[in-house]
Amino acid sequence: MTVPDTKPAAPTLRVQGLNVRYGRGALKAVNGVDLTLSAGRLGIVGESGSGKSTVGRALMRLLPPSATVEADLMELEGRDLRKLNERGFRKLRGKDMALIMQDPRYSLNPVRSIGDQVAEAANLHLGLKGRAARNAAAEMLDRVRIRNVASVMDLYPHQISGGMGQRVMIAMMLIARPRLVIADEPTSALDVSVRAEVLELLDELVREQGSSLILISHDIRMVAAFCNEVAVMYKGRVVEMIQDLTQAKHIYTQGLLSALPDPSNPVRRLHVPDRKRLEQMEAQS
Amino acid sequence: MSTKNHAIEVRGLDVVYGEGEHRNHVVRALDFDVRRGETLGIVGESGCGKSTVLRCLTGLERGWSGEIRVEGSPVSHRRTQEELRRLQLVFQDPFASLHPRHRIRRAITEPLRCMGLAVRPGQVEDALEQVGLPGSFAERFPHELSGGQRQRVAIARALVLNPPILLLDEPTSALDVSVQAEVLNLLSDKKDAEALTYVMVSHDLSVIAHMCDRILVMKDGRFVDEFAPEAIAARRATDPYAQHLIDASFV
Repeated sequence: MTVPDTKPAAPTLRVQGLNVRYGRGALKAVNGVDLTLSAGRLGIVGESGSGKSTVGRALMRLLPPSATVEADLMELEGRDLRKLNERGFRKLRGKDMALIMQDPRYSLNPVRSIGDQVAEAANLHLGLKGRAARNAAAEMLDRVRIRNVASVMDLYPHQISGGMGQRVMIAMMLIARPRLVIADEPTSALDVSVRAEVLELLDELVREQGSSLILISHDIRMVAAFCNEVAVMYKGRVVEMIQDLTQAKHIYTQGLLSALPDPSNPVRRLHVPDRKRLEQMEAQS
Repeated sequence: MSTKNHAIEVRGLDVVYGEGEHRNHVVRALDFDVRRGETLGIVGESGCGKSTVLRCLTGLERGWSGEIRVEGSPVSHRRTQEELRRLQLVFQDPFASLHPRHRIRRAITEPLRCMGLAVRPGQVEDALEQVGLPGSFAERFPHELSGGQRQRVAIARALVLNPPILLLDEPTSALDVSVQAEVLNLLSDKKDAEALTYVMVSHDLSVIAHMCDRILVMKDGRFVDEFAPEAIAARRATDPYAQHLIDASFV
């Protein structure tokens, strides 16, 4: 092991039998999902509608009121999340667990300056006031490698680029040193050339703070390269857990992988997942 | 200068938006050719001007200068119906490119009506079947279709005028990978069956490498590099920006 001085720590997050339903529908958007995460990086991949974002939001209790969440077990560092009332959860949200969303253009407040927004996070979660909150914000923005921090703090979200916006989001979410960071498609709204940079930054900060990270994405190659373990979701279920792509056994995962165009292995036509077989398998289970 | 083998020839294409302080030179003196039957890829990041190039080619953009030839004959800012027919565009977002309150039948016959052409009985059903959708979808509304099905409708709509050239602006970036595979396969099949020429714009290098015969890398309104798809597999480019793009695409 690389970290000798820690005893085998209790998992940061333990979830068993997570079910989510929307409205009165009988269909489970999330169906019996189990997740365990110690300090490290867990990936959740799947296509649209697979329930991957719903899992992230269920953990943060950010689903709309029409959603019903049930779980046999849902613990963050030994604390039972199911027993917390909304008030207790509000203290925990943003402080102990944070969510980084897809598009900074929508998740940042358009009418407040960058500095104000990051300072607000410092105020809410670290109890810092005025000058002290702004200083903490400036320090955090510097850590996410924003140049000219002083002038950027006076800018509004529409004045900065997507990559910069996402670094601001990361600064806001990590300022309270949360134990668990959930990043839901943190790079898919960004240009290719800044994606890697943003991911590396997120990874570096999360490691530095000893937090755990859940990375939710549709991009199976990116997630596999980045995470220790990957949960592949299909229609609300985790169909398999893999450490790397070569282990993929489930036909859905294999289908997903072979549908990706691969420049080093050019083909005339791409392989299309066998939906009939998938449906058959589903009907059996 | 015109050659019979070229579907599109572009010389000195320039696009400038705004004036004075707000002057924004989006496309800078581009020269390029698209050979008949080839798939040309243009890659670049947001704001590099790649979509503007496609808009100039179709005639959606009016404020360009330079020279554009389509199948050997020069086109101007005002296009004849025949010139418009030759180049059809498939847009990125199938959720935004179909009118939400028009049935699929109307979406597909719209180009025909614009061109003043008669709609043959059964033509809509044929067009749908050509892109692998059941003919009964003609009576549906866009919200009753999935993203992949909508993009098939958009392709059917572009093909209904039998254009020799199809311009594709990020045709699969709003779709899931398995659906993307189906749509890319459909595009390959159509190209083979109808001897089409494609110009495809994307930021996804692996999609571009899969589809294209030749790839141009665009940055700040200029082409900075050109290579064959094999160069992406080998991860080698001559221009440093193109190299950076390739490196960043494959983590």
